[in-house]
Amino acid sequence: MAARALTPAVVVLALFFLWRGHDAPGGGFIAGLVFGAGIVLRWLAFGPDGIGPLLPAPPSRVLALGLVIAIGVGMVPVAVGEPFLSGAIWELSVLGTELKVASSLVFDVGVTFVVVGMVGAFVRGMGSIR
Amino acid sequence: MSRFLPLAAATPLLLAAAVAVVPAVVVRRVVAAAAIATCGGIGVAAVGSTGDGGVLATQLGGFPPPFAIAMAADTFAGLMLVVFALVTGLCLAFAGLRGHDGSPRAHAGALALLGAAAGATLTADLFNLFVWIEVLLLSSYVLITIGGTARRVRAGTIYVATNLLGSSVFLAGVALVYATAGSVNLGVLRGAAAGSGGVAIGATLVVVALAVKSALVPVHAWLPRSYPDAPTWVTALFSGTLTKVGIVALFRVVTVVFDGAAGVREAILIVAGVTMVVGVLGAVGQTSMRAILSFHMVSQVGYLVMALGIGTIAGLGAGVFFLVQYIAVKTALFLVAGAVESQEGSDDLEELGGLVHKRPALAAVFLISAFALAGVPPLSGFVAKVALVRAAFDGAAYGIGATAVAVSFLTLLSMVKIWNAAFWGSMPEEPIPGEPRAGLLVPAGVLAAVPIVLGLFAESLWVVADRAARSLADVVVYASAVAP
Repeated sequence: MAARALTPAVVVLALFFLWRGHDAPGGGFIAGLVFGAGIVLRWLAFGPDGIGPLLPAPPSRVLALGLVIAIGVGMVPVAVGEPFLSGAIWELSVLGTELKVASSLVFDVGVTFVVVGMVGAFVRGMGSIR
Repeated sequence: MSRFLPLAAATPLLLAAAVAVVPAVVVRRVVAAAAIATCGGIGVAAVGSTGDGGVLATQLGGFPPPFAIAMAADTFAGLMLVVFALVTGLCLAFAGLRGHDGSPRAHAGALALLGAAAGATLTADLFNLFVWIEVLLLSSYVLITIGGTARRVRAGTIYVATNLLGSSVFLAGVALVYATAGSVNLGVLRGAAAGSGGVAIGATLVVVALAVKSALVPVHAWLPRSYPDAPTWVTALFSGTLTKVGIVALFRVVTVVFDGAAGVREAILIVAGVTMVVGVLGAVGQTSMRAILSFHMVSQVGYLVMALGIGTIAGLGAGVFFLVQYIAVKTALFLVAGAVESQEGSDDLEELGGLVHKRPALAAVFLISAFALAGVPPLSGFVAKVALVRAAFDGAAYGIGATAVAVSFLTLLSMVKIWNAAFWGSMPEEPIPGEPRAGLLVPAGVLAAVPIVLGLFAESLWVVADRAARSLADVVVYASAVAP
């Protein structure tokens, strides 16, 4: 029961860390670890089939997608003559609130995917050893 | 040019992700070849554009130095990129010919390994170096357990445990350096160990951790216990890239942070001598080709750090020359062992014999590589060892020079032992059925041409090695490029 109730909280916490990571402690790696902790929690509570809601795809795919996002966003500036991983910051007005969005957020999303994929692979690999 | 440097690491990593999800093995091979060519091409370009002794540098993310992670390439780094790319390509080619690259993990692991090796070679930031080495180890964990037999998992366990311990020491060292010097940028840290005890202790921890990764005695025991149990092409790949990244990083950290301090160099010379002797003696008791070769790897690492211990331009140049030709030779030897194991069903010396009649080409490739490893003229190993020993004597390091010569003879003895047991003598009465495959010898053959060419035309590599040594020694140029 607790695991079921904690799942959304873990997801929100991971998203919160991902969001604030640009200027404050947090970021993609931490978000991935928190999300991964949610996966481990569900595995322990419900067994191998229980992680589906948090990790619907094979872990290696998630990892690969994360790598492509993170490195791909780093390569874009190289193509236009800037150093690798150079970022831009956009100021958006959403529902009357000013939001600062950095392109490095995309990089962080990629990192999150990598870490989540990694945790998923660990859990699957080690959990299946009898 | 310099902004393209990170692509040497990023492209293989990106394409590693791509090959992990591609179902067709042919496509995976083509993608892998493209990634390897990109990395090697950037290496060639870096060597080409640092001929004047300059250093290419870029600050990641466009942040101002010294806060950004800096990546830099001098001639030494460029040369290593080329060598790493070449070895990765040939080992993957061997895996393909042997039919061992069926799992997507093979290509993905090898490309991630290459990308991390490139990143570790290029980075000018201690913490970033730690991250690259972790990526390197992560991909090697995947590769060492491909096939997942109990022996391999056991070998992987020793390997993982040792390297995690090494990584913890590394991280502690980086933390100490950051706490005392306030920066992990190698440009800022130039010569910093002399002025601050905290930096000196931290950097020493980093050096110790790198010694673990490079398998220097007394922190070498993990290597001969885990390498022989991995798939053959993986052992060959590890021998050419993984342990050598430790050496490359060791060269950079010692020359820059310690600025070649005499006390550090003397300590390194002692470790180098002990490593040579312990490795070569350890090989005596081994009975399989790969186990013997693994102990020799430990021994030869001694020669590499000996160059660092001598520390003169001549010594470093000899070390770079030695490193390049040694990587080719050692990878060739492991690939020969792999070919023997594939075709004869075993690489255990007691199960083999008379291969010189049965497989003369294989015997020739082995003989050339083995003689090059021992340092028989006119092969490149001879040129490299003469240069090393001469540099040692010129630098008044007589003890290590004599040790290097003596260990060469013991190396030859070990190679003769393999030759006598596997290639000479009579064929085994009940041969184990192997699975011969066409062209399996080609990658090893290509690598075995290296010691011949570099032995007869040593001048061509010597010019580049000398430039690489000067770029290593000229830490002022490096530091001002990295942290202007």
